[in-house]
Amino acid sequence: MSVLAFVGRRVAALAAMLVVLSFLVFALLYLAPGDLVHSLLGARAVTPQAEAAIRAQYHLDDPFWVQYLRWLGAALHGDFGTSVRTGTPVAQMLEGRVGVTVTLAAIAGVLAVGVGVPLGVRAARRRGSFEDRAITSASVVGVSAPGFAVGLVLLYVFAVMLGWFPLYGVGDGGLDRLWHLALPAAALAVGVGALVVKVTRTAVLRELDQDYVTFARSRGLSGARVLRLYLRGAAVPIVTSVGLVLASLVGGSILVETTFALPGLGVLLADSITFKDVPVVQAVTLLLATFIGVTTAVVDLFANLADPRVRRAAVAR
Amino acid sequence: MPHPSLLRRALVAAVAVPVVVGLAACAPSSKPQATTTASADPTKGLDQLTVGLNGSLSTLDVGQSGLLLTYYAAALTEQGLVGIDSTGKLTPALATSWKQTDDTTWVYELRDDASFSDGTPVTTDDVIFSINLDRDAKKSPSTAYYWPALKSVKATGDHEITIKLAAPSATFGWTPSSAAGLFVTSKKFYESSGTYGSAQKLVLGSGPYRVTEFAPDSHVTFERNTHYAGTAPKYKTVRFDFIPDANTRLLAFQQGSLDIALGVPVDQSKTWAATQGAQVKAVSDLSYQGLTIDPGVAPFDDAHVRRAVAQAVDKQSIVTGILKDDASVALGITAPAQLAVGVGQDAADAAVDSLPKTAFDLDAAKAELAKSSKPDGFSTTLTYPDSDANLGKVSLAIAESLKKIGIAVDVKEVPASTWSADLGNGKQGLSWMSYIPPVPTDWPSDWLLSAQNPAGYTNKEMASLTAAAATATDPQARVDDVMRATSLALEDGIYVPVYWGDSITAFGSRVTPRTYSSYYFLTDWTAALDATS
Repeated sequence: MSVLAFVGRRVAALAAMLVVLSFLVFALLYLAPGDLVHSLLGARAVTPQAEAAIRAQYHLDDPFWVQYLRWLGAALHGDFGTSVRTGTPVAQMLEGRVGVTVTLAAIAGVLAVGVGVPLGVRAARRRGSFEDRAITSASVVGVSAPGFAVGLVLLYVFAVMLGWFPLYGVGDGGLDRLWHLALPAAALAVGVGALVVKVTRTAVLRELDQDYVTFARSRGLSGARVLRLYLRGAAVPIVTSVGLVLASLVGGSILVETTFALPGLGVLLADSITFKDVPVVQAVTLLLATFIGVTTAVVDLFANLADPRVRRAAVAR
Repeated sequence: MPHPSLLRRALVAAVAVPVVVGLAACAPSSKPQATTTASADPTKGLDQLTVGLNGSLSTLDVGQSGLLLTYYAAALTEQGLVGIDSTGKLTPALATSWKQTDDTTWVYELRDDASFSDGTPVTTDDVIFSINLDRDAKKSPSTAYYWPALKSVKATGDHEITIKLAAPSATFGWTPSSAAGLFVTSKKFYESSGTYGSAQKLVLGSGPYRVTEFAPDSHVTFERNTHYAGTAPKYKTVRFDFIPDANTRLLAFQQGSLDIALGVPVDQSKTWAATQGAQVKAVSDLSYQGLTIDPGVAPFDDAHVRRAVAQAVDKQSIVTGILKDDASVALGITAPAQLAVGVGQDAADAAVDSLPKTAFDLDAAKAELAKSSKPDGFSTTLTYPDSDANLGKVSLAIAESLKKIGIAVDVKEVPASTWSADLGNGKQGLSWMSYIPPVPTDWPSDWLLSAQNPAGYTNKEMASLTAAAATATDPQARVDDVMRATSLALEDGIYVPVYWGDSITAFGSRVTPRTYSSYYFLTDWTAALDATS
């Protein structure tokens, strides 16, 4: 199978998934309790005139299908509408926020993989040692600790006590932005990184038990060459799980964004769901779904390239 | 699907509060109860004043978002025809004087030297345009609420505007103020491309400051408006940082990053006060928090049941134990701080004192329930909005009391939008009314005691008293009518007032507020904030 055909198939599948997802999210918001009139007017007396004006403005009295198709028609033309909560076009609301969340997730991803994979490999190679037990226990703590709690501890230690990093906010762009995002990214990376450690350790251990590693060693190959051999074998499960784990970074960012007062997509999504601000929720979920879809596609592509067995299986199909 | 904000709050409540209060308690910057206030110089300013807000703004247009915090931002940048002072009384703003020539006619004389912050003059056209914009339910759903039906709005002179109402109104005086329903902007600016109040377009007003940068959910920066017609502001720039997480806000305050922090949680106020040079001030936030009992839902159709519930609520313990006295026991519906606007605090306190009182008495409550159709008790549910963590704790305390007389209450947290949409749906016997009016004249009793009240309660006398209060032109007559209507509803056990809330604000060592009150941040407050030397 050529790479082009693979990409084409994945793009088509992604497009279909986005349409289905947009329908599901729209339907869920439609069915969820609460209504827009009260979100806009607050908990106070609502005159029938004011209610009628708002219902007419947002076509709330149209049947569900009509509402959904109106949204879909506009979205297919690239118009994601106007936020009900702010009256601002959705595209303008996403401006800037995408950058914050993507940068946050990217730094967290690099940290998680950059630290997690080497630690996992090391733990596997020193199986049963004190070092292995320490790494494994630390990763259990990392997986269990909620991101915002880790965030608060990091804030206290690195921002308040040591004063190395700023407490909150996103800074003024460039390096200042990176400096501001370092702590939140670390908070986000802890849980994910711990997961990467565990997955890597398991994958490498499995490879170490394989006969080919024993044979390679008995043939007197150098440590580095043996390492390359079994790392290649372990790469597929590691990359696959890392892809999934990275996709979850965006979801986890909601809590971290709240703790560090960052204007990212997570906070926007949470507030928009509460408000029933359909245009914003749709745009953000589709954007996240696209990100996840592309990440998994890249991961699969990599898995294809990394493992000849998978490559052969794909061709045989 | 768990609601993200519910999940967030639950997690934060469960883990973060103890973690950080514990950490913060041993913060290096905190000293035990250091309440030293340096001497203040009323003329001295600062280069930058930083305010930590306990929430976030996603637009600066008050017409679009009536959140209290949006009002706070607008108080710096935009003006109405009138403004308010720290007691809620009207003060000149764009109008230098105003008079009511008859029950429905108001005439405003505008100052002739007012300019928007871009240097263009404020014209009568701009004012009339803004009035029509702010009372349009489609463009300004939030402010339109405060505008009664008008017969006409006209320029009756070069600097004079006359507003004629369709019917007399008790509260119209406050409507064209920046504490309620009018934020005068330039017609030309509003109609130029872009969304008013967005990060890209910002807002344009004639207030002491102009917005220079707005990053939704992050911060908004104001700079001194050099075209301001009033006294030049003391602080060169003011920055609002949105820090929704109370723990992060606390750490930032302790570190000295914030000069003012809003929304200090009641259970953390001691930790905040321990920061060196800090002043932590609690003041009525005008909110009413109480139970609503729908007499159309069995078994609450039985007056004995309603009375039993009212007697079983231990308001004093709730205020002292859960709210740490940063609230007061509600004796009526509209808070005294609001009633006082127009009649003074003494008259307001006397009015509240005249209301019928229900003492906490579990034995009496049990006896009352025994006389009802459900002598052995029953079960019911009570939902509270996730926007107020205190209500959750208070709900559990009430459920505990009611359990003792045989009423099992299932307490549930729901998203605030769900809670408000369910108000008055005729299906909930017991529900919370949490009314937080941003505006001095927005009285919860206007709604709760009207014919369209959310309790589904029919009482012609009460409804006609409330209708009379809405059009009363004498402030004392309005208060009297409201008190009589409140008495009727309380005697029938329709409402069980629980507490009138406080808002707690922390001021750092660099500043000290003068005339601090419930209305402080709705006034020209930077003028009433002194830099300490």
